[in-house]
Amino acid sequence: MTEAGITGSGESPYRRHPGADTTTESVLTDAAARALRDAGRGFADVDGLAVASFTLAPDHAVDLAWRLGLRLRWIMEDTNGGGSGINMLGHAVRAVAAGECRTVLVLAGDAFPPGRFHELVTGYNRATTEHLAPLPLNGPNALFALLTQRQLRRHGLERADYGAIAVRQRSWAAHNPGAVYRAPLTIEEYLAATPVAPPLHRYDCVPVVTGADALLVEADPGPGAVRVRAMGTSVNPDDQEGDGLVTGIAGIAPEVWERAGCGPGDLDLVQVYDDYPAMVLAQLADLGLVPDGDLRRFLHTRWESLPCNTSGGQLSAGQAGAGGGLHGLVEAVRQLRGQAGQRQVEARLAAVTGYGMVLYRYGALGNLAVLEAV
Amino acid sequence: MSEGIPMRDCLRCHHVHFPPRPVCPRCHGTEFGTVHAAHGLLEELTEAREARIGSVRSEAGPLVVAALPADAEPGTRVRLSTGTDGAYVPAGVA
Repeated sequence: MTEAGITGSGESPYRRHPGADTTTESVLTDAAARALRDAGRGFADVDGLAVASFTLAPDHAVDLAWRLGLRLRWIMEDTNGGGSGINMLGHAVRAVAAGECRTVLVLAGDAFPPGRFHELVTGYNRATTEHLAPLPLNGPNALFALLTQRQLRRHGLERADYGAIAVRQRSWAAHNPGAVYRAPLTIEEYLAATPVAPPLHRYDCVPVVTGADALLVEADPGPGAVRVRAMGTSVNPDDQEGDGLVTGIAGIAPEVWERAGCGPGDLDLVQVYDDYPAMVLAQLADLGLVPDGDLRRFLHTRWESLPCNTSGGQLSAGQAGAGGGLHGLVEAVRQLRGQAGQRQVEARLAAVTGYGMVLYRYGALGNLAVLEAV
Repeated sequence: MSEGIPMRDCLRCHHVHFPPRPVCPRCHGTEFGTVHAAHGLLEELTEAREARIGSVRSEAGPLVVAALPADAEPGTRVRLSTGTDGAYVPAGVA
């Protein structure tokens, strides 16, 4: 088996209101160029391509390969949104390990000109067009408002508890030049924010941005690369018939820790998929970081000092469509390679989660990757 | 139009599911009858910009996402409807 490692990462700057000349293709191209430059490689070195994007249509991965001038021996396209980053990384690592290709670009991102995001969320899947959009319901905010109410009630939480997540992630974002919201956020501002779908208010919801993320996976990587120790995926663990407060990650985490040869207590860094603060808490618990299950105590004891979502997360950096599934991986790779600037933490071992694909009531897909600096 | 929300009732294990899928999520059976859920318990409610959206535990079992009338309160029984007379649950195409 060939050794595979992540040798480069890049992010095309996230923008709330991009210019008219910014397209899905332009942000994916920019992110790819940045990851290649980071790895000291060029487009001519690439022989594998993985891409996830909601807005690349009518083009697909093969069109992108042609337009980027790539000569490929391996290609894939992923449609799993917030779970696509880890899913693609896994496929890429295994393809390199099997000797099918040596240098894989892993890309994800989207451009949302006016109206395009609404089109995406109201036409997300058949369950949405047939059973949710007619309510009317425009996107997942109300569904996660209901889920957050269940979590509030179950764990005796208050809005201010979720505020601790938004405020802390914003303080990380202050040191991330790529985050769209960097100004400090106070708990008073959090609590006084405009309601979206109570208990969700403005700072509980990710800002939709145009942007893209990229990783480069290479065979026989030299020093300074990041290795995937283990990963796992869970799809549809409960037929959407549960409360959504536990994700599929809870079911796979024990075996992933076993394959990785470490546990949640060994982590230096965690990047969890933060579409809403309630999902941050759910996934941290699913990983095993809240052993007694007391989310409130965790927030008031461990949260402040835990290096988690150090880019500011999607809540402050922005959610670039399918790019959100790669965002946490890019931040973890930057941290593990010592490239995180003023927000750099000392880290050798990181866990990254993906979550998403709302089928009817909440996300149906969860995955987990354990990364290590080598 | 019969009253309530049409849901799939598995002929093999009698697990009722919604939205309708081609395979029973419990026993993987593929033959179904239809039950109509006319009422349910409103478990959570939120006021989104576009509508009052709630999670309703239907009397037939499935949790459904519904648009609620102005007077509906969490913790109360609501009438489920594919029209305007109660908590609206789009039943989708037949």
